[in-house]
Amino acid sequence: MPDRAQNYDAVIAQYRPVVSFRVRRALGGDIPDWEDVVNEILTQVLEKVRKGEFRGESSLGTFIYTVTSRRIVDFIRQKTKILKSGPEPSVPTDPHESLEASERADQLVRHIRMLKPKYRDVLFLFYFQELPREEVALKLGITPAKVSERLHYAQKLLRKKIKK
Amino acid sequence: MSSCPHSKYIDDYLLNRLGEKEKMRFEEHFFNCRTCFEDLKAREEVLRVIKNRSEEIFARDRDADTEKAGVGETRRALRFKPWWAAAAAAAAAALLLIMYLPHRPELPPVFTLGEDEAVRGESLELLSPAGESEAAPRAFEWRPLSRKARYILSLYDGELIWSGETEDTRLDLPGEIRERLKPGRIYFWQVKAYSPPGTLITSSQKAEFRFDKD
Repeated sequence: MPDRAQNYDAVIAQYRPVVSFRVRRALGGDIPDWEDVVNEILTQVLEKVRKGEFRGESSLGTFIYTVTSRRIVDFIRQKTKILKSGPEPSVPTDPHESLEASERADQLVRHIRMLKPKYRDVLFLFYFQELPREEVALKLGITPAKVSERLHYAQKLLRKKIKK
Repeated sequence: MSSCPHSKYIDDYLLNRLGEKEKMRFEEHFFNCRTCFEDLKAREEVLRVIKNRSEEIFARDRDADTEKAGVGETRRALRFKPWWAAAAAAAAAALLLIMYLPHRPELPPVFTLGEDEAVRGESLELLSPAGESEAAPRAFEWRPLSRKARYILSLYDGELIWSGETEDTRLDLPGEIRERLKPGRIYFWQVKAYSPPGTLITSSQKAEFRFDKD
């Protein structure tokens, strides 16, 4: 039994990144409570698993997702009447961004600027102006499938450059 | 890159284009799919950089193109010696400016860091309904932006149940939709503002409301 408990600890700990992502997106990365909420969620999941409340009827990921979603709703209800369901339409920014993350951002800026114009254009129109694929295609005189292809390729290139 | 069939939802999720049910399904999926989650994180990082540092990434290209065109013009202009040529050039420039200013291309939205989060452009403040009330709302109201905009309102109860559009800052809830709202249930609503050409200017946070009885 102790071995099983330790195993669960390790397994559940692997979900920290995805729980953190979900919580930060829902609450905003610069709300100081977000890390506490993540810790509460993982602790709650571990307790429920130890008590036998996770019976394997769904996957562990689904179980953790359900606990996470409920905790987020409870947190928001407690804190505010106006729902902050994530920064709209943008992405959470974190004032405590690590130096590593900041350097990665600088790298990304450089690499995006070095992309060929045809890739930069789709990134600008699709992600910055948030135009639908069809409109991006119209503006650039290409097909929507080509837009998807260029987005996919640009993302792939950037990931490769960052990994280096 | 992900070979999972669900990866096609990643961009729509990041750009808040999925309906509530689709969003929840995709969120549940990436809690179970490492490939999609890694892809999601990577794209979110790119999106964040593009949103927050757009001036660095895109504006310099436009400036560089303008500069290249301008240098040649300046060299040719300096060859004119007579004073009247300089005066004529200044007058022409002033005239062009007067003609151009009303038609200048729409500026990209500015990103500012508010107290709680990064917001796009001006913040769009929702006024009512919010929180608890005695009856189902008859209309939705919000503060106007400082510029002309077209507003699209979406009403949710876990999934999208109604959407309306206006150039005003108030939208009446159709009677048939209002009748379907249930007391005690939590509803969410959100407004997005678009420029006349159709570019998203800003988006409000989601507000929730609930009513006791009708």
